[in-house]
Amino acid sequence: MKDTLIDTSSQVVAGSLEEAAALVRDMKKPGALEKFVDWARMHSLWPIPFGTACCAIEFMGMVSSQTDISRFGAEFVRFSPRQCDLMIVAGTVVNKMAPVLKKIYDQMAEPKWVISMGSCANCGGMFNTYSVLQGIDRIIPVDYYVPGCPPRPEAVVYAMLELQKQIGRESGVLSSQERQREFWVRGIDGHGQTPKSRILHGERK
Amino acid sequence: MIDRARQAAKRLSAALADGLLEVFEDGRGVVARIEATALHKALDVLRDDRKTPFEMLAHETAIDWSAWPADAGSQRPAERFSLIYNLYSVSTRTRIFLEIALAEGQAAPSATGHYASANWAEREIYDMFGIKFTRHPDLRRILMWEGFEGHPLRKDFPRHGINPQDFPQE
Repeated sequence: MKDTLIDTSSQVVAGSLEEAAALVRDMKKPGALEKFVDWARMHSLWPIPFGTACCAIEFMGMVSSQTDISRFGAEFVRFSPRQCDLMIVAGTVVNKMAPVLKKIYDQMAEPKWVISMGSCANCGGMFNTYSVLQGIDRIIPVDYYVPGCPPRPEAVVYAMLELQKQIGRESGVLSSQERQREFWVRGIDGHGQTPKSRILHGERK
Repeated sequence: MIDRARQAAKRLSAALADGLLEVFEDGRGVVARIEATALHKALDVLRDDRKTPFEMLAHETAIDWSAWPADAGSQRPAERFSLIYNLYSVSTRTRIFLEIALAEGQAAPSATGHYASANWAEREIYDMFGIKFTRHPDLRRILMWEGFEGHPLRKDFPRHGINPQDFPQE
C-alpha cells in the first residue's frame, strides 16, 4: 500500500473504550453530553450506497478487505435509508433518477450526511448533456466531494475520515436541517457561498 | 450465411416488385431499401420464408441525415430520416437489413404486428427522433419522462435541452 495517494492502511480510528470512559468521566462538565454524542455519531456511521455507475465498483473495493471501512466503525452498509446516516452517492445521476435520489435522502433519519463520490455526482462529469443531473448538490446538500473518475477507495476513505472530524466538531446540536440551511443560505464555510459554487462562478461580490 | 441473405433478398425482390428500391451490400451485409408502404409485405415474406425464416427483429433504429456533410463520402439521402430494421434468422444464422426513407413528419408503419420486440424499439425511436408509428399499441416515451420537450437524437436538438431551466439548477 506504499503507492497509494493517502496511506490509510495503518489508521484505525474507531473509538476506543478508554475514550468513552474519559468522556463519561467528564459528563458533569458543560457541553460534555454534546461531545459524547459527537463521539458516538462519528464512530458509528451507517453508510447507504447510492451506486448508479462505475464508482459503485470502487465503493465495493472500499467496503471489502483491502481498504476496509469497518476499521472506522462504518462496516454496516445497509440498503434501507431508514437505517442509515451517511449516503455515498457513487455514480452518474440522470434527471429521471433525480427524484428517486431526493426521496431516498428524505427517507433517511436525522442526523444525516452525504459524500458525493466521483466527477459525475460532483458536477455531471463528462456528461454535460440534457439527460444528466449536473451535480447532486442541485437537489441535496453535500458534505464532502471526492474528485476522480472514479476516485480510488483510499480517497473516499479520506473523505470519510474528514467527515468524521467534521461530525466531531458539530457539538451534537446541529440537525441536518440546520446544516442544510447553513449549506444553502450561508454556505458551508460561512462566506455565503458553497466551495463548489466559488470554484465554478468565482467569488461572489 | 451471406449467400442465404442474398437469396432471401432475391425472393423478397420477386415478392415486392416495385416496393423494393434496391439491394446492396456494405459493411453490415445485405441491405434492402424498400418503400415504406411495402414494409408489412416485406416483413411477411422474410419472417415466413421457408428456407431462411427471419424469426427475430434484432434491432430497429433510425438515422437523422440532416447534419450529414456533403463531402462525407456516401451520398446523403433525399429524405431526412432512415429507419433501419435488423432481421436475424436464428435457425440459419443469417442477417438481413431493411431500410426505409422517411420525410420529416411522415409516420412509419409499425412492425409490432410482426415482431413483439418492435414495441419498445419503436417507442425509443419515437422518443429520440419524434417519428410516429401508425397502429402502434402504446406509443409513449420510453427513456425520457412524460412532458420532456424535444427529441434528443435529432441533430438540431440543443445539447442542454430545449428548456434547460426546467432541470434542477444550482
